[in-house]
Amino acid sequence: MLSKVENERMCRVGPGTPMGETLRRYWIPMLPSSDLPSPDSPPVRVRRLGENFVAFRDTRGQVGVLDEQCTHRGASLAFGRVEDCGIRCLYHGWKFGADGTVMDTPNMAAASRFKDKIKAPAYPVHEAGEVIFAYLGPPANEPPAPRFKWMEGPPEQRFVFEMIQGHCNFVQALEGGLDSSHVGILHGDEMTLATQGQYDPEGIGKDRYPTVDNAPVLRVENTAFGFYYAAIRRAIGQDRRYVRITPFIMPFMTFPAGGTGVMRVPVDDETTSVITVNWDEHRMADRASVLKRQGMDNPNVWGPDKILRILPQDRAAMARGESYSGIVGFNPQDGAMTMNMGGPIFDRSREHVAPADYAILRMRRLLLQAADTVAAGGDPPGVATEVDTSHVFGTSGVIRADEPWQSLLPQHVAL
Amino acid sequence: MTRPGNGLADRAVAGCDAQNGDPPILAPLAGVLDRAAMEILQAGEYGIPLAALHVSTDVYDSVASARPREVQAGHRLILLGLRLVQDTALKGEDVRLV
Repeated sequence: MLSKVENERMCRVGPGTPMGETLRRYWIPMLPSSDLPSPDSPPVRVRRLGENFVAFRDTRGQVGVLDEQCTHRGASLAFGRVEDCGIRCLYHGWKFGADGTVMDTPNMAAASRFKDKIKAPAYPVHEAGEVIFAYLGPPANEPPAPRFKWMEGPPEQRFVFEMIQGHCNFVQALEGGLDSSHVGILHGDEMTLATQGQYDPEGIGKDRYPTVDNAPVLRVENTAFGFYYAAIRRAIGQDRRYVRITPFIMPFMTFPAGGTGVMRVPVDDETTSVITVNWDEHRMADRASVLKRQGMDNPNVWGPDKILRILPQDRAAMARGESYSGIVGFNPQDGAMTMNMGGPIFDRSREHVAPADYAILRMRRLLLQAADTVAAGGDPPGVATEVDTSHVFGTSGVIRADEPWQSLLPQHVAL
Repeated sequence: MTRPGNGLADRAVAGCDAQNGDPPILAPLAGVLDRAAMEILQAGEYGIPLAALHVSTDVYDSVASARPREVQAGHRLILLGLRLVQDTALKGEDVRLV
């Protein structure tokens, strides 16, 4: 539960808003590298935090992120030509480099030095792990480039995809990633199959989800980057505990157990881009398997426009006892919940949270504290040079009943 | 001791302060809920039965104003599964479990 004032403060992300200014202090995932597959490939329109950008890969392979509107007279650079180490606006032919340098103004006299006096709004870019990040905040506050475990290793061992969730503010999408108690319920079909060894045994079902306990005990420990959150359940048939540990990395990243990193990035107040990285340290990424696992292998659910669509529930399968939710796959199941919460920004003054929502409560508090800190002139958590996220990962395992959950995280350092 | 809401809920229904038209100034809840949930989970770990969550008057009023229907219907306010009690000895984000 939050007051309406807190809820607005936490969810609104446009320029000048408290949360918008806070998020702009972090590197923002803009798009998968595969959207700009080669030098001079077509530019891509990207909307983030309520603002429109254009991303392009120049002739040398360098990615540029500029304001979408041409700095001349506002035409969209998403229609532009990417050529000769820059992007050229179709309207009057002005051409810009990846750093915003004005390279050409063909509608001006050759002797004009106009182009030397201005620059297009351009943003620092960092490309790693098949994801293109941009820094949209004050230049003086640019943090170190992001470093995560999934960025290591060859690209063949990673599969990155983007999914757009409409009618869904980023916080309600993020809350689903910090909500372990729904896993055995909403995703009960998949987890039952995992327990039987039939579901994705090389992926998320690798640990066989050895529990039928839907009421986990939760533990949260703050870290320099956010927190680690452990959901501790009774393991099947033994006096042991099954633990799923998920890190929350400020401001919107989670790593569920099973080799996945999920970034829930605000497109604007009411739409969220979910960029998911699947990686395996030991083998090639299996795109088809990942999409099937996530319920994204149906073109009616997720296609080239990246928009997640929720199909009608299979009520007959539910009646026959063959499906709990009548929805196939993790992402459509989650999307059906978080995209239908009475509005794109759920009114959290109306909810009745439970102790099982502890990790969500901690995340909200951290986001709001970060907004307060930034508003007061300070730095939000996780942007300092010394914060190392390269070792952070999600994991799961079975431990003795008297064993601390932290034993599964040898590199964990609590604040 | 619980109380039925001292009129703040009625103002929240109208969406503003009846006196001057300004939105009511309410206590933030994020910190209180985080702290209370942590203490409830710790109590659960030790098998301590709980019945009520004591909070400051400001926090109580903030919850009451968000739940005008419950207040008007004479229902007790419940937060994190516990009966909510205003406690004048508490300030800010302080909570007490009973």
